[in-house]
Amino acid sequence: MTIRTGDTIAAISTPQGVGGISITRISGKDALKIADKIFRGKIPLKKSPDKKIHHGHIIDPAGLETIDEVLCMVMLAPNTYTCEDIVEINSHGGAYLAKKILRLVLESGARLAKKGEFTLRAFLNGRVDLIQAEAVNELIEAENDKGINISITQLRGELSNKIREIRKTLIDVYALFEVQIDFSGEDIGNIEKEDIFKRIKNVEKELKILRDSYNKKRERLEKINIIIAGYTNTGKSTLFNRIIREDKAIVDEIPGTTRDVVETEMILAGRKCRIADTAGLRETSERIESKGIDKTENEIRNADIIILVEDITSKEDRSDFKSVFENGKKVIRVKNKIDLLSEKEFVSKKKGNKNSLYISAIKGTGIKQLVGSLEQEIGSKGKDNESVFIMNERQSDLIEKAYGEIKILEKGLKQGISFEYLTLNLRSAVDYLDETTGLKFSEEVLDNIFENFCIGK
Amino acid sequence: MYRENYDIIVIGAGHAGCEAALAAARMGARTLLMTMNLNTAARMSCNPAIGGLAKGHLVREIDALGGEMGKITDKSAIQFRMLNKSKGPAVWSPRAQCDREMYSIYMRESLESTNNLYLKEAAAVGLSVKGSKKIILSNIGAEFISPAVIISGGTFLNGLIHIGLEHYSAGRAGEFASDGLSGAIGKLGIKTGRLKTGTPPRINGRTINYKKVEPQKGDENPVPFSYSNEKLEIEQMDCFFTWTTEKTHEILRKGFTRSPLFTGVIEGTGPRYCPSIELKIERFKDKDRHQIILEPEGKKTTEYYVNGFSTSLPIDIQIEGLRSIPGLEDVEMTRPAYAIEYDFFFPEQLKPNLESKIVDGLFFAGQVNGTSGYEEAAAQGIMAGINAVLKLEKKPVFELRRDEAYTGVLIDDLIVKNPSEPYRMFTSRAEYRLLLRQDNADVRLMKYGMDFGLVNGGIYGKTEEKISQTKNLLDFIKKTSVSPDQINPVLEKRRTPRIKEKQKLYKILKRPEISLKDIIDVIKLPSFTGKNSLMDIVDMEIKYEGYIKREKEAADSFKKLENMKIPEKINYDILPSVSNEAKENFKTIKPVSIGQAQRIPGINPADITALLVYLKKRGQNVSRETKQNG
Repeated sequence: MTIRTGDTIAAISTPQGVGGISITRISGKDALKIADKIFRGKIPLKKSPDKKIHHGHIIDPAGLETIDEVLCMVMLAPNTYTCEDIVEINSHGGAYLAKKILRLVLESGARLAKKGEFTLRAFLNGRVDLIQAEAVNELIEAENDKGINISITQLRGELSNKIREIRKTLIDVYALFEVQIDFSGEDIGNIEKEDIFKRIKNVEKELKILRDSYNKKRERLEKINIIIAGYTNTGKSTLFNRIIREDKAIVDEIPGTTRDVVETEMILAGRKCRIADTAGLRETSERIESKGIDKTENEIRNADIIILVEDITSKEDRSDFKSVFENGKKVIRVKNKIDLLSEKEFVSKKKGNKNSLYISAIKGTGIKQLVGSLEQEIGSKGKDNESVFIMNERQSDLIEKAYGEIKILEKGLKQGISFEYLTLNLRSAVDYLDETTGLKFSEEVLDNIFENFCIGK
Repeated sequence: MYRENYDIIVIGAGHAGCEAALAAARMGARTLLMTMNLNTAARMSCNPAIGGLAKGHLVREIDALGGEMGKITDKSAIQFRMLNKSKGPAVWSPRAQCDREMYSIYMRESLESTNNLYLKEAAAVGLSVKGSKKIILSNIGAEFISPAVIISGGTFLNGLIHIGLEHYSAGRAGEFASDGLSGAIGKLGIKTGRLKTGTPPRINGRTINYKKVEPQKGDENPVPFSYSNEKLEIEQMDCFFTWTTEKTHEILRKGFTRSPLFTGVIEGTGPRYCPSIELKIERFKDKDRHQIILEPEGKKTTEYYVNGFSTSLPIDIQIEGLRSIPGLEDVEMTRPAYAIEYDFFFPEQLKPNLESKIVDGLFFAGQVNGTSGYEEAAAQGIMAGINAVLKLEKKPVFELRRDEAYTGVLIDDLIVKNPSEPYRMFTSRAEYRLLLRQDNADVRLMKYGMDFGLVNGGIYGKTEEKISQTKNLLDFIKKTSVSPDQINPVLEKRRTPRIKEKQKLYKILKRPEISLKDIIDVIKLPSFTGKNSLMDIVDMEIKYEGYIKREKEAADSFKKLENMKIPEKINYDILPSVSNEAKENFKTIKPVSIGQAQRIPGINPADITALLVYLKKRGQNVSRETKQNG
């Protein structure tokens, strides 16, 4: 039996403010009874099968006036988010209506849910572990597709699994140590120090990857920096305007002079990107321009992706450009102004260079392909092999501590410190891992985590 | 019916019963010790040895509390060894081979010479409760009555011996089983279970070929078990190593069809850490030999105990098997190996003072609580004896915390984890083992023994002296500086870098290569330093200061949770958000503190959170009610 006693809680689960619909969620053993007091449909909700949606009206039981036409979804324990009976009332949007319905629900016997209480119940009822509970919070706060993917991975328990794997190795080594201490008089053979060393090294590596994944995750959630660069008069600004016109999701535009960096934010391939136009690269004596060029060099250094624009009609050899870009940076080469070439000239130019995209910024030719390669590039940036990520400071701190213990343990092993001391490091490391997954009890940690949840989830 | 009245009755004079009766009588209670055979008091049923890893710690603790086991061991020992010497002092553990017969004789001498202690050869066949009185019906036509009873029946309750497919009722080879008592206890509402243990064969030492076995000597300077003994002058005997062969395994396998273990005749659960030879062969098929140690049974006998050959296979297989072992080709078996099944009482039914939660004034100690081992039994015995007296005197119970003593770990594990196999102590069961050393049991526990009047002042004085000497030596080392001239020769000899200017001795001793023994000739240490054990301890405290500090800090936070007490009368049924399973666990164990509640198997952090929240709310309500009333 996973159904728990306890009171019934309710809250508006959709964001405050005007929206298409609002959802009021009721969870607890009296959820159906309470909803039935204010819901009038074809059948009472308490007779509803699991996971059914019912059309009907919310009425004020006092005056019997109709408040709203709604859809009510019934989910029965134990296979629900909280492991309790849940009713969700989908009403028409608007703060006033939703609040009115919530008030009726509360008057009918529910209690207003505290911050994060639905997830707290899911955790207390053993449906999610601590990491998964935190992932729910991340999911709510995620700003882009990547963030959502990471959270869903955690919700599936992959980080928990990874930690359990590491924990298993530590427990195994722990057992080996203990055998040497508690059964030393017996015929147990000698401990394979090399083997233990290897296992500990491996754990150390795994913990390091996990630890570093916290920064990686942040990187992932941060903006991708795209720079349009090239010599003067190659049509960079025109291209910049073309690209941002291509994508409607412009977030913000920062104006600047033509000599300065002009930039905007946009979503490409599900990622938040910052795209910037730069001043042209050219030896120059003019003060403002040289200042602009300093900035350009700075931009190039910090770029994730560089769109290198060249004028296809230019006779100059631009191969010296390579030196400007450090290794590891993705450069998309673009030959602009193909509208100025005849068909014959275009074909002959193209023959010599297959690594470039051919566009006309002014006419809009080839822009779709360029955006396509940008998206492909951005997409590939997220695709490293690790799918497991540390989610937050709390986890990061604990993993760091576990890592620290393993480092000390490794040193102790090298120095030949007796096992009964080293088990202290092992035990601590396991404790930290357990705390990460919530196996270990600590009131403050729990409080802290559940306070960081927005109400209604 | 003839009747006698006592303050406390102890049933069973094994290792638990003897310690319980001695403690109770010495604390002034009129104590009756009943046993089915007075000649076999404190009989070692299995291995003729006391101590060993973690068990040695227990013996030292019993001694610090004023118990008898250590003293009797010192008197009857025929070989001493300190185990785990290659590791740190926290896990060193003393072990002694004892003269089986002499151990019993010396213990009986102690029992007989103790005031307030009455010995009776009588079997308890019934137990009934009338008000606060417990009436023990015996097989000699007498009833014995007392307000407090300690049950320490060992393996005797409904004992059943198996040799091959033959089995018969017995409490131990050659002795009757106890019938009726466990049934009577069961009728009081106490749950019983069934466990199994075993013992190897004994052989005639004159039929061992000593050229083919390898001697194991005792330590040159034996360390006594009892804090009351400074030095021991004994003539030590050797043990002998040999190994089973592929042939042995082949022979034993032949007998598997007649094994009560493999054919399901034995129902009780046996100890995983002490498997019979047939189980070892079965489970570790790739191991081509198993270690056998031949241990002398005593000075006045030629019998040897065949450690490592515990079995319940039939006798023909046992003899053939033994004779396939190098050195035992012509061996004569004097007593066969056997397995024994017996009743025990689930220890979760006990309070931390080893008193039944169901029957007030009824205490349980030793193997009847599902433990194995003389030392585990004796430790429970002394705790039960002390607590029975405290109960009669209406004084607070005597508990030892897990950070204080192995004895504390033992009892807490029993009542919280309710082990399903015979429970043996290991150092790894003690979370704070760096603090629980065998050499500091007196520092940890002797003050309690003093308070209960079980330890004499003179011995405690020695402990106090040790405490102050340790502190003085440490202070001296922290204060004293050494010059390069003084110390560099030593550093060179030990192949560790020389120093260029004066340095604190403390810093020098932090180096793994340098110990106090190395510098004793170049630096004048306080005159009392001569004792080796003192130097070992101070060395360790300096070198592993960081680890010890951590363990102390951990123990401190552990204590906080232990001190968050849970009221005895709490309605677990109304706890919100706690599963029925967890509620049942809470109700069975009735944890005394949040710390203990946490350790209950199947209780998860969420249950503890719910319990804490409930207790907090309850506390608030109580105070609110008080306000309203006022």
